[in-house]
Amino acid sequence: MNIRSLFATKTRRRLAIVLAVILVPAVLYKVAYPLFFDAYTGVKNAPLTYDTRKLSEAEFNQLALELTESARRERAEATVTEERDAFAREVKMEILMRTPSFIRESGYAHIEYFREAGILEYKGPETCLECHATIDITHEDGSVETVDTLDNIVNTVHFKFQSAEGGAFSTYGYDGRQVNAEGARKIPVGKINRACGIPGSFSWTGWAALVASRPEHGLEGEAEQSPVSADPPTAEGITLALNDPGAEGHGVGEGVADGVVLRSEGCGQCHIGGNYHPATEKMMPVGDVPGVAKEGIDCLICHAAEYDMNQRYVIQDKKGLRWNQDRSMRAAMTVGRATNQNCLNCHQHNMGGDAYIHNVAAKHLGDKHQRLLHTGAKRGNPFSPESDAHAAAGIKCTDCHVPEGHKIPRGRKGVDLVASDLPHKEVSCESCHSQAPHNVSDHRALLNGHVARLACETCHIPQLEDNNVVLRDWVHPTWDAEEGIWTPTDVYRSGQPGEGLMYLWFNGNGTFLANALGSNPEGDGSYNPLMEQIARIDNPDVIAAVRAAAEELKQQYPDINVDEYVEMATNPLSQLSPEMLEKRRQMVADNLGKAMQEGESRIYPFKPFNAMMFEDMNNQGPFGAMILPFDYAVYYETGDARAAVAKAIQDPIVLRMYQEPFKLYMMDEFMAYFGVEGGWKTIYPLTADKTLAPQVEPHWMRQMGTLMVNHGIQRKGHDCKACHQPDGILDYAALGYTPERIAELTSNEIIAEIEIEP
Amino acid sequence: MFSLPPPDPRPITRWLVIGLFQAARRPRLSMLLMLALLVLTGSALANAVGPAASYTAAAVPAPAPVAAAPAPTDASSAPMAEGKGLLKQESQNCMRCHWMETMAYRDRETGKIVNLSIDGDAYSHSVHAELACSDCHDRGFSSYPHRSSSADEALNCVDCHEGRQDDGAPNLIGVKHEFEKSVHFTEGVEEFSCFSCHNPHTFHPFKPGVSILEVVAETNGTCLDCHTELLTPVPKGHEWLPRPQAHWSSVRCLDCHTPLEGRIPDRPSHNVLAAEESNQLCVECHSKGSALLSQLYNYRAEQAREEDGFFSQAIYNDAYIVGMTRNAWMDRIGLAVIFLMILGVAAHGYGRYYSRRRQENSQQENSQ
Repeated sequence: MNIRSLFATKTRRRLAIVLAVILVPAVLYKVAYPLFFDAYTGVKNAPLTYDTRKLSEAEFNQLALELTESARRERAEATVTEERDAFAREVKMEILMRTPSFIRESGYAHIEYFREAGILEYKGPETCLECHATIDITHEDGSVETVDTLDNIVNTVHFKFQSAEGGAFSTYGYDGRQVNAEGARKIPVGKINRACGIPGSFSWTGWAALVASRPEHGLEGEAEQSPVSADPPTAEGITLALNDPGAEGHGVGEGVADGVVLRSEGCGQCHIGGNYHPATEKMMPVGDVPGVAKEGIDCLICHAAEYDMNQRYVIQDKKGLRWNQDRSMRAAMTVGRATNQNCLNCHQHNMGGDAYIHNVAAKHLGDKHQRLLHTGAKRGNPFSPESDAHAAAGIKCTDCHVPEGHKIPRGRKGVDLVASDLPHKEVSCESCHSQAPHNVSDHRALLNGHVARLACETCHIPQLEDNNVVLRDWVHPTWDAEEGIWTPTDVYRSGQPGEGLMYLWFNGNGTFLANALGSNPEGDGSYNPLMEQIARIDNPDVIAAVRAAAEELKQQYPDINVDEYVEMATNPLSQLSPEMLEKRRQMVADNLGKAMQEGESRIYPFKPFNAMMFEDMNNQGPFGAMILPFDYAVYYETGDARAAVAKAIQDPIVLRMYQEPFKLYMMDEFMAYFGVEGGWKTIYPLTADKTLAPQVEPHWMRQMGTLMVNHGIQRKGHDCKACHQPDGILDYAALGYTPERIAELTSNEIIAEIEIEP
Repeated sequence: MFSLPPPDPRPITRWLVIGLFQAARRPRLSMLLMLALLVLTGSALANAVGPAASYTAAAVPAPAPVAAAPAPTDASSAPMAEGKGLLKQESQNCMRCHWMETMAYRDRETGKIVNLSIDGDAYSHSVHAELACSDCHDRGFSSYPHRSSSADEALNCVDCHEGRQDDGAPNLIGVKHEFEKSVHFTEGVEEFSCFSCHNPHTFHPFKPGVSILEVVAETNGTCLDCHTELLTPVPKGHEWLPRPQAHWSSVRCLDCHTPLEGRIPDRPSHNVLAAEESNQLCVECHSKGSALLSQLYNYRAEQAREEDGFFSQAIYNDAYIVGMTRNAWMDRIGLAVIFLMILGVAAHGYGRYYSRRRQENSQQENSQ
């Protein structure tokens, strides 16, 4: 048939036009747009392969037996703890293990499902979706909705790391507008595009990195047996290691020469997407992540009781670096609802920290390319039976963070820009404990009375872990001999009240740079944390510790002026020009008043944090300038902080950030919230010879960020005298109390009366 | 559509004047003037046979649906004397702790939360604003912790409110007699006292202008605080009642659970009836002479008309009660419409039958 005959008659021509009108946009949208998007942003998509294998039926049965036995044994062990005699315990366990009802009730339900369905290989989401193509979601009002499972999960914050939804943020810009409020132009914000001084990067530039480390004393544990040469590393050795053509990468087990050990690092280690980059496509109002990326979702890290964190390491294939997953049948056979350990596989990292002694995931660093541990803790408030009253009582994460489908609520109060799937769903102590939580003490009514002004956490998180980072200097790295890498220098760490734990009024609102907002309901109006508490460190002990750290750094960086360094770190406002300082004062007074006065404020504990990073001073305002990310491999390997920034900002997406479309799409709005007037300046901060442009300067952010702490709850909180004495942990004057009220609150009179009690 | 407001004793001429005036103020409504006149005629007729007899206009501007009669002194208008009430020094000592909004404890016997917080603002607007803490709580509070059980302190409203006092405090003897007949007393409900329902620290009569819905919510809140079993889809003992939750939010429990006889407009009776004695007849409320008009709605009509004007009230009445709020003319128009419709259908049917027969006739003629 001739092509012309298709258009022979008028009717055919009309039909062809109608078809074209339908087909052309569809093809453009489905084929041309994704290609263009990938080319423009530099994101990569390709089919992802993992090490999976089909089991024989015999192997399946063997595995089923082992898993069931061990689950049963674990349950039996937990049941017989009352029995003191070890032998009697063992006998009881044996009896239990053979008891029919006990056998029925312990074990993994999916083993039987897999057996029936003949599933002998776990291929990722496609295996799960065979049965779970849709799920029923129970909403808060009790209504049930059936949704597409894959669609449900790719639209969660756990996959997208950002949200552009209205009302998803209790965060206010320094211009006074609520971020993405109703009526505002919505921009995608969340961890994906919000660089932060704790990780020193964001998920675009810090997704997955293989770092060539040079440990001086070898590695602990499994890695210790690997042949690590004592010879000093050479450039050739590193290059050799990195250019290893093996599709599965290379590492300690492979005998890399010259003492180089490859280590894994990056944001992707804790995220459920398995691609070469975060779900950037989701930041656009149109389009979707491609099917190949969805096939990379790691269902098992959240759902398999026996997920092996040793499978979480960076692998390199022809397309680039990405994170490996545990896709074994062993893990798949243990799937079920998410357990606490599933959540903690990732979240203990930002609660207890990597160095926390009961962090289970941190004991399984990888079969190869072991993940780097971060010795400073982001919050230092662990959730584990050893350190938290609720975990000890067997409470599940999802008992408080009650999910709706794959969307998990974070709570209505959020100081920072971490996106939230169910921003209006309550997660609070009161929802279980009521407003009268104290039942034992003689003073219970008095203690309950405090709930009106104090959050439960204020007393019941008496302190954070000692390695809680307060001040982190990314500009002057120090050599970590044990790990064989350069790390940012933690100038100050503490978990003690008044040092690494501070108390602020908080009504659930925060600022664009994570500063808690609130007001003293009986105050004299003097409470102004953005000009006072969080913009200055007064504690002489802390200042002395920072000075000591600066003096130590000076040994290595002779250019450091210790006095200036201490001043900048402990009084970050000193970095502002007088005009800028005045402008800040004005903006705080004019723009943030409403957000501070709103609702009911109570005193909450916060972990303060500030970091010295490189900033693009063309985009600066009274609260800080745009911070620039570091490339992990360059930073850790060379300790050249400037080169690491130069490398990271060569990432295509950062280049695009400094161009007009990105500026108009979101950066102008981003800057307005940031308190920077005049919109986003698109002068790319890299010179022609790939070094940092002169507008890039090292600075501390102009105030400390305040991170909420809600875990690590202790049954016994602070006692009365912790606060009700002249030198208590609450600085009533800074909290905006009147002198008369301070005298009352700090007097020992009432306490003395209470203390008479036996 | 249109609903008739509760009867109003004012002469019909005043209605007309207010109605016209309001209609003129609201141009949208002036178009309905003619129709409204019709309604007026109807309502006047209805009024003549309505329950106006059971209700006297002059009686009460502001009914107090809970315990006490209208307060003789209005705390908000009478400035507190210096050194009285919470301003007294010893009261200040108490308030040093008891201001705390969340000062409360969970009772070890009942498991319920006992609130110990005094809302200073609410107290100063309550009928007891002039009393200092120690005027009632006179023993055992000089040291901390206070004695363990507040039950030791046998406070009783009638101890003070026996006979009319010089200061105008109301006599609650009548209430006491009613209460002693109520199911809460006769069934021997443990530790049931005035304070089980009434908080003396916040008590004040409803002010004119409080909407019916607010009155209902606050009054029923008192009952439902204990009777939580009634907050279910099919509440126990109320299986016969359609849409129970809608009833909870629009009519007071007391409107059925107190004797129908001898109601006074001032306040509901304290003789709370047991289930079997309570009113279960729908028509007591859902009728023209609704029992609700003698208490709950007795001041509503006048007040609403003052605010919204007659027409808005007639059209937007948010307290539409099936049966009580009705318009005889609308009934007649409705009947007429139904009658006309039946007539129309019959006529249409007959027309078809008739034309068919003619057709058949003519065909027969043709075939012949």
